[in-house]
Amino acid sequence: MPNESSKAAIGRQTQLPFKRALEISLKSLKIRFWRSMITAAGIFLGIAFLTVVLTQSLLQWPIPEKVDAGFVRVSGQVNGPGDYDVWTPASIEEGLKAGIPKEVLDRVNVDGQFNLRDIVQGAINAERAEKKLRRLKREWQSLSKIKDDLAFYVSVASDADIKVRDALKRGVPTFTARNLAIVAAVRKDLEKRLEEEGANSDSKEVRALKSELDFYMAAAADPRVKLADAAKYGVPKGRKRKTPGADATFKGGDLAEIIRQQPDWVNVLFASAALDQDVTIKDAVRQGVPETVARRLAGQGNTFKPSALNDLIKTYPDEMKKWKRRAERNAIFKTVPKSAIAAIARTHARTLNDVLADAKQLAKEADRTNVMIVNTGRKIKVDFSRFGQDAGKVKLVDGDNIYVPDRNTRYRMIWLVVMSLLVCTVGITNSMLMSVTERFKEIGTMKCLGALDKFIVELFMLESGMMGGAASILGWLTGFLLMLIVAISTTGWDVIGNLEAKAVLLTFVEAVVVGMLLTIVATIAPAKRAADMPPAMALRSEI
Amino acid sequence: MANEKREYVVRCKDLYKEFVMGDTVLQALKGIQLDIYRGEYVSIMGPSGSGKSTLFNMVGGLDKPTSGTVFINDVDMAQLDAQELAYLRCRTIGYIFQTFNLIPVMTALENVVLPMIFAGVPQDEAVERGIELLKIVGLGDRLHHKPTELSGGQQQRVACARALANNPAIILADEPTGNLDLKTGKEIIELLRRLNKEQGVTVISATHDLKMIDISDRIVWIRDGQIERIENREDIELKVGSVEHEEE
Repeated sequence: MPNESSKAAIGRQTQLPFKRALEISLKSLKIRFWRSMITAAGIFLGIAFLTVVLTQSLLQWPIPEKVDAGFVRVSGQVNGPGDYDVWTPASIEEGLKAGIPKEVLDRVNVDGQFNLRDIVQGAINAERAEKKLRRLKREWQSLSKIKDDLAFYVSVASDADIKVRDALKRGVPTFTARNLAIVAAVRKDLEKRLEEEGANSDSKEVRALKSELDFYMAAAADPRVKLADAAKYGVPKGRKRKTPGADATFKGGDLAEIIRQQPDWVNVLFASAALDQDVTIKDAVRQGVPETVARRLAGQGNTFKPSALNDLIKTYPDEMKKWKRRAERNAIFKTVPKSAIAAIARTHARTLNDVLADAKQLAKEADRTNVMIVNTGRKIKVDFSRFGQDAGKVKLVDGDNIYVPDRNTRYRMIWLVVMSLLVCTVGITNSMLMSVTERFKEIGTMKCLGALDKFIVELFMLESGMMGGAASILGWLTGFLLMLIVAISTTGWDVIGNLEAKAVLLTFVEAVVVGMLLTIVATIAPAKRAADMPPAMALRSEI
Repeated sequence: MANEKREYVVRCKDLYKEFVMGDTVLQALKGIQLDIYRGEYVSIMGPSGSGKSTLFNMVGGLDKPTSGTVFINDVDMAQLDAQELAYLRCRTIGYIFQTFNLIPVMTALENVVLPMIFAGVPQDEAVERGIELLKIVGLGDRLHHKPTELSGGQQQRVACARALANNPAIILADEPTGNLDLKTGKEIIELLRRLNKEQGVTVISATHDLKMIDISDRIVWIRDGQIERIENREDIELKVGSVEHEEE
């Protein structure tokens, strides 16, 4: 019958030239312009975002206003911690050209070169000294109000001889001060007597003196005890003491005894001082001690000895002088313009890798592998491409600025970009799926007219590829310009720095390649599904 | 009949087609035997759901039978690979659908030119022939209109022109008048008949339009996936026009 021989009569359909597919897909894009626009908007936004992230890393962000210590400190498990310059030495001429005053450069000149660290550190020292001085002065102001009284009560605790005059000046009541002075005189008499008669003597005179002692002690503590009461204490009649003058003295211990009996008699700070007892921070603050000082004295605890406060107060004049001198000495570094520092920093910054290499060398010498870099510096330019190599071994702390993004920031960025691209892909796939589904009939018809499966796939690929390409280019342009505008308007023209055309071009290529790839990947599945479908089924479908 | 000398252009042998829909198996075709001669005008008639569209798809190579074979020009369709099948669809068969199925992004001329492009005909030649074909179907003045700018009848004319583009041996028309009003439907039928007479092309038309009976050489009646009867035109007397059947 038939078959075999006649099969030769059927030829093989050949693939159409690329130009044809291009023409048809262009036409199809044109006619479905608005729908294509919506699909393209997804790609556009994703790529714009990607470009913003890419461009941001290219820009030269200025050193933040607050410049901290200009070095990276290696600490932690490494033996022999050391400081590592993040700046290489610059010549004095460079410094002058950048605008650093000559006097400053003279101060930091080491064999015709200087390290920016010294200037930054100098400025920081000046700032710190001024801050410290301000604090000392503030504290001194409060402390000077209580310092004399405090010194007085501390001397009470040490049982020193105290003049009645001084006591009266501190607010000790007259009856107390005067009677205590009499107590002191009586005690002297008693001691003399006992010396003459022997320590165990119980003569009439000794007894009289002891009674007198008790009476005057009581009178010192209680104003209600009158001279008429003397007999009650066993003081012989007719014994009378002369009222002591202002220059008479009494023993601090006696006053302390009275304070112990009547704790409310003076304020708690002074009472504690007189009895050499601890005072709580709260009580001290209430009596006019600056809280900062009280806390410092208390250390970990909640109380401190007033005598320690007394000692501390004595150091204040010297301390203030010392910090004032230091502030004056470093004040010159504050005159260096920020722009000059930035200029030198820009040209003489070492990369993080250089610093890390130093740290690693140190770790190796110490036979340790775990180096912790505490980054207190603000000016380390990080080469992102090489950053990852050390990521596993180096932990960056305090890396909260543009120059030293910690790993988390970087990962967060990558995560963000990946997520946005993923969402993009899902959106594009959905759009392409719709676009293919609603054209099943068209695809079926094309196949009836002799189109090959490959041609159908090519058609959709071209369509989505062109759309993805155009959206990516626009997305890149938008992202790039947006980042530039934002950066320039917030930080000035300096931010452009030495933006290389090559690097910019690279972001362009990356953005467009990623955009087109995503679109094409998202199209493959629906296009393939459409092409593989038997024409009868494709024709039957209703949208 | 005494048609021994005439050659077959389509031969169907024991054609079975099953559709699996969930748990149920639907037998659309149950052993169809059908031979069609070159230059014939054959109408496949039957109520909807009788399997005429399925048969149409089998003959057109748009779907594969579950069992049995279809020969087109003595070539077993089951033996063809994708490229050969595309070649066959492109040059040997012209399709006309109930819903016209023109490519919406293309003009009338471009739609007619497209199959020729697929066949590798040079652009100029294809355009020339496209214009000629559109003139034949009476659309010489509508060359650059998009399908949306044409009426249903005009669209179906474009479809006819497109089906003729590569000088096919067979024109398969699936309910060509189904979406058209009476008058336009009649025009299309007459056009098909004219093309059949003038170009010598075999026309196979699946339809339930009784107007077709009048002009068909043979009528194949299908019911429940089987051929009920095949009638030659000279054997039936039908008073066409007296039957009011169209609901449109």
